[in-house]
Amino acid sequence: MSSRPQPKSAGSSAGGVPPAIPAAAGKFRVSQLIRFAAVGVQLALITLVVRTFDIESGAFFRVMTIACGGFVLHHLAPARLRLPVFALVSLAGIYAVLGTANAIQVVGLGLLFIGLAHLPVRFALRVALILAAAGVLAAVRAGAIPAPLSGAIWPIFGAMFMFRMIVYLYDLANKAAPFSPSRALAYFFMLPNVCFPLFPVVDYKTFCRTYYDDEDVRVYQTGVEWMFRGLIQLLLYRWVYQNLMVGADTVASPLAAATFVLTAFLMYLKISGSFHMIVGMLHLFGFNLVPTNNRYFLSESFTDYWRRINIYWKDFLQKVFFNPVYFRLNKRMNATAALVAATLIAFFVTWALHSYQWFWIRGSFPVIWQDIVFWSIMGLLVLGNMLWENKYGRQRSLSRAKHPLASEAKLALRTVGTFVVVCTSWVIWSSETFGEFTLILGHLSRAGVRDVLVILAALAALGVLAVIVARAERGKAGSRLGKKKPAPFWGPAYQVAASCVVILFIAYAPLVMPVDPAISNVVDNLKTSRLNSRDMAMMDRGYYEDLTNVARFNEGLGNLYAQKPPNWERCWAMHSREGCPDFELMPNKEVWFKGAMMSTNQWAMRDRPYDEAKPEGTYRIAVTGASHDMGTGVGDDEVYDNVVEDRLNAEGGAVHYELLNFSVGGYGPLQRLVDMDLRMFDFDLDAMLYVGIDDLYWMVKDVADAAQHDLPVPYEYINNVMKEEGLAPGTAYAESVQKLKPRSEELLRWLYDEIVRRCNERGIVPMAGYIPHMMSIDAEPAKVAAVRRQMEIAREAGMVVIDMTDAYDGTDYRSLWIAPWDSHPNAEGHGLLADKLYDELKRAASL
Amino acid sequence: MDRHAIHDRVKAYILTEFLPGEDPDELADDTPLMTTGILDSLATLKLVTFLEQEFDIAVEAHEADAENLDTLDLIVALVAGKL
Repeated sequence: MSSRPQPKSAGSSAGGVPPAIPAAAGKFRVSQLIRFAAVGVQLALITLVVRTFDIESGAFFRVMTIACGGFVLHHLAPARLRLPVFALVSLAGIYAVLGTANAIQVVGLGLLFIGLAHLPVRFALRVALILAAAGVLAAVRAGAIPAPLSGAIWPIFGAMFMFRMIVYLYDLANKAAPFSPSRALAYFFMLPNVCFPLFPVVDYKTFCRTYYDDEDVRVYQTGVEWMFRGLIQLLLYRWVYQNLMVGADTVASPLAAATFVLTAFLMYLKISGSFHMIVGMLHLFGFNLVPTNNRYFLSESFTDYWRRINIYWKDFLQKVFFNPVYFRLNKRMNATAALVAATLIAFFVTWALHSYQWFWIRGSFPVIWQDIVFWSIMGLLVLGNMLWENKYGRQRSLSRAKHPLASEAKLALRTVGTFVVVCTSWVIWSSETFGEFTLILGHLSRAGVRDVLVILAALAALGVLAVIVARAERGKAGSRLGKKKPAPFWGPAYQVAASCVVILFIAYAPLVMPVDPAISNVVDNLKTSRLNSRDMAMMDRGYYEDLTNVARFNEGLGNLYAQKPPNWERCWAMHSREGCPDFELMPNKEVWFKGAMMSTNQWAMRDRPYDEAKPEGTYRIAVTGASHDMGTGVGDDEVYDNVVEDRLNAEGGAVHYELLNFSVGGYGPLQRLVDMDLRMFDFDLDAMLYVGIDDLYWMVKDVADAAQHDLPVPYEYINNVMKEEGLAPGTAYAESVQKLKPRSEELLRWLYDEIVRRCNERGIVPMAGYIPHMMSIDAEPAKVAAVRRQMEIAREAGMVVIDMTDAYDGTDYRSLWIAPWDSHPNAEGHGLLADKLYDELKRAASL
Repeated sequence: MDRHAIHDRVKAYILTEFLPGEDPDELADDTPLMTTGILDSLATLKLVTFLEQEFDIAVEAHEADAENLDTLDLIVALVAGKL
């Protein structure tokens, strides 16, 4: 470690043992012991709630358990050993979550970087060495250099070092805080980080300065209070995610659009809740850090919002980028110009560092217009606000002076205005396309009187809330500033404990007493972290779409995708082609795809070799479907059509069966019709089995995609529909879907009629088979109705309907996925489909 | 310049610039300023500019934080240490 002299100013607070510790540590007063036990009880209750509601992940519960034990050990340790104990507890957390091999890699790499920071050479050389080492790691992370490092370590290692190393070097350069091995270990490997790739940028100097800067049990109590707030926010996030968050294509009214705008912002509850948990847990070990995400939805200006939404980020940016730039420029130009330049640079750096953060967490460096527009808007709003405050000042007060009604009305208006602008910018940030954003605005612009009144009432409620909270905060601030009263202990402690007990009662009551099924259903849903309908749809669509956006704003889906091996989506047996469809399978390929070997025959089918001419005594059925039917993620002989073919032929009857599989992953109904015209009818067929899951949805999606990507659809009817609905290459996908949805049945009826006509012309029996969704849709009446309706349309068109939608009944759907991040059916799923198809084919034959 | 004079000048500046109309007795020597939002980032920069011009000192970028500027006491100590 550095032998440089320690800063004088840090001596009493940050440097040595803070004054709060020596008197307290090791010598318990009874009152203190009781309060310590009270914190322990609250912590245990919070841990139980975390376990009951499966908050974050199983790994987080393990960390919570370690935190409970570590909390007691740390508190009982002599003052001089507390920091090393925290460092050891943190390392134990890494080991418990990542396992031995990954923990060794994370800690080993971390020690290397810490060691480089303290090499006995010039500081500039140390920085150069660290940059070089980081460059090598970045190349490994990007896959440019092979290295025997686990892919699982990057998000956590990145979260620990990508920003904190910058802060650490800054303070090291300025000798702004004390440095020691235990401080470095505690700072970089701090306990909760191992579960949270998105982590507040804790400032090193503050980390040292605030360590036990107040009475220990009061610091702990603040910690459990924040953890409880985090818990509530994470539960609220889960409820919003599961119940309110929808895709832009499903927004159909002004109020639904307003809800969409609100939920875009409410997604931040996830970050806010996590940060409360993290900072709260650090309090349990004496780090009396500043409040995080402090009522950001009640910000009264953009500078206020910037300060509240993530003060850790704002402080980091101000310390390392804004202040140095401003102080330098202020000597060369006037203060206002320096302020403008420093602010703009700070927001540019914010954008760049967000992409840098994604690089370490997800492995890609996104440069997308949404980020650029969002941070530009934020930068300009904050800058404008700063210039205004610079010129006209900002109202501040130390006392509990009464504020006139006009002043409070202005506060309410400012809060509402800030909230509306911030929500709007969040919609831009989270939109997949700009068209999606304008689509939502379009819905809002058509709001009627009733819609406007509802929205205004909600905003007025927010304004009133802002005034009430401001009054309460003024009261607290007044008493705190004037009399230096310590924060209350027992009142908040009772509140946290009682609230946890109530939550646990609600969670377990349905097990011991009759509860309204609607309530128990809500509670059950809150207990599980599952993908919502929108993300399930995105997962389905994810087969051939850019996933960067998915990972940016769909945390659940993003986490799942983060586990995917590199190139998981890449199918080397496919290539692009001109026309519609714009990709196809290649003949005679044998490739590894999604965890299984996949072969294509001489006709570019994912199937066994067949002759074009049908052998004598053979009954030949063409199967056409999408990725499930192509057998994505299972071996050649495990694909359900091959299993059925083998079973039919094993019966030893006079007829030999051939099931020719024309399915191609990613082909929707429209693309399958084109494929039939292109190649299927070259074969001598007896029957054709068209397989679908949710054709009403997929038909609309196909047409919307074709319009968006300007694919040359060879059917006049479809082209006319596109024209009639005004769909063009620039039309947003969500807007196209909204326009086409009312015509989904018409579109599907046309498609089925076309298929049946082609089959009848050739004497082929047209069959339509329907396989299940990969998640239970029992609780979604609209989806269940759509499944039934598509079958009715198929029957009306003259197809023999084979209903396989109950093939997975009685099975845990997720156990049938080929991977946690990929819902295609595995071999067991294909076996169930084969059983069902076999039975249904036999029944159809007997009829 | 003694600490008393520094204290009075800094206190007068803070009251005039950031807390106009406030009772001077409300602003104690240990009243937190940065951590309670009285001194936000903009106000901090203004204060630093004032300190540099008024006392002819140089405040470094890394010194413009709560450790040096959170209370009147700390501000006075920072200035006194540089004179």
